[in-house]
Amino acid sequence: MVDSPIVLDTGVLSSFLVAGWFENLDFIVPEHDLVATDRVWNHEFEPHNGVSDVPVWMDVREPPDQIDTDVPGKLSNADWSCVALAEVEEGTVITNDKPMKEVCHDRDVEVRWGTKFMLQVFMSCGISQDEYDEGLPAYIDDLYLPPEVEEELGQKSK
Amino acid sequence: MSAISGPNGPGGAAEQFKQFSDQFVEDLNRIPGVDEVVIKRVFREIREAPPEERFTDSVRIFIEELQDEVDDFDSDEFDVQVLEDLAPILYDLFDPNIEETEEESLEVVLEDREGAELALIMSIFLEKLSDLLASWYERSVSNDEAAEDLPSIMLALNSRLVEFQEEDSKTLYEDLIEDVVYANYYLAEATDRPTPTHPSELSDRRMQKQVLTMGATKAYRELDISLSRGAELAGMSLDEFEAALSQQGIQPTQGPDADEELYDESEDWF
Repeated sequence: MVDSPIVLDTGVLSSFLVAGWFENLDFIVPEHDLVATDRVWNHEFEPHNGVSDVPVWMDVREPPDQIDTDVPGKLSNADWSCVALAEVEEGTVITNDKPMKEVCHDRDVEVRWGTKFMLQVFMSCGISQDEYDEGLPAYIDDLYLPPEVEEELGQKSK
Repeated sequence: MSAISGPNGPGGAAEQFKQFSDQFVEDLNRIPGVDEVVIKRVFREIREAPPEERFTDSVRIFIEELQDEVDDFDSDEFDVQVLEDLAPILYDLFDPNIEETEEESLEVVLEDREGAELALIMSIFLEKLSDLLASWYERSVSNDEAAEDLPSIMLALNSRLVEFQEEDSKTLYEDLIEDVVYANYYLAEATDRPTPTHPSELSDRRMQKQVLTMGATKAYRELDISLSRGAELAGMSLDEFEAALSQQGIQPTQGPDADEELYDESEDWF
């Protein structure tokens, strides 16, 4: 079972949005808290994606004040806010970014790939087959996945 | 979140640049016939010229100043081939140190958020200097005719290094940006590569954006930073930065990898 809160980074939010699956994220609530940090939502996602209101099924939270690290410049302020929130609240970061995932591993913060998260939502019926088939090309186009992963995604069905 | 604290840095990119500048002047003094005082005076004259003149005509300024400074120097007899013959010497002398300082400057991006922007600009400045030396070296060992273009760019960039060794510049940030943009343009022109927009057509803000984009894409390519961090360094949105990477043929590092299991039905996520 993935640990709550589930903290989504900008890339994951964007990929769900372009695929037309953004509202499908409410599938996870209320069993899990779905969270974006203030840095992610108000500074990275909302200004560039035309989503003005925070969905009722999502919470925007402010992480704690400071995070200590030897490599403060490895991630952005928005990234570090996700790591900090998941660390303090013992949640799970969802990201498609490799350096971000590495930092989570190094800090023993639970982390999952965004694409694996998406597949779990789909296979758990949070996204219908028709919605999946329709949105997949845009999802793949938004990311930089290996051809083998793209091919496997195209073959998924319930 | 108001702060991300890291370890105390080694003094930052400015300190590294100062050390490199000191070493550069020291290495210059090892070239036979070089008088440090005269050279510094000549470089000051070059530095005070408008950027267009600095990056296209520094050889003329250099020769004219030497005429004034050195008694038995006759500018009419000066052959640009003399400078061209120096290219391999300068390449062997300076390039290893340039590469090392370039890498150290880039490492500051990881360790020091406050100093990251200046570190990026310095790293790009040194990258241009290294590119310039390599191009000039290649031409000098080929049968191509010697010309004043590459030596002029070399003198313009070196004049900035010597300035940094002499004094604490109050406009270092802006000066380095201008130098990078002009060097980038005239180096492309001299080596028959596609030229970007001429620097005279760019506002200060556009020049800054160009250099920070160059620095951020370099940092993304060579350091293990996140895509969001690259966009943050470039002052862009994620989509804009992805486009900038794509223009450079750089693909974002995203997962999962091909050899990972995408879906495990026995794993109960929700």
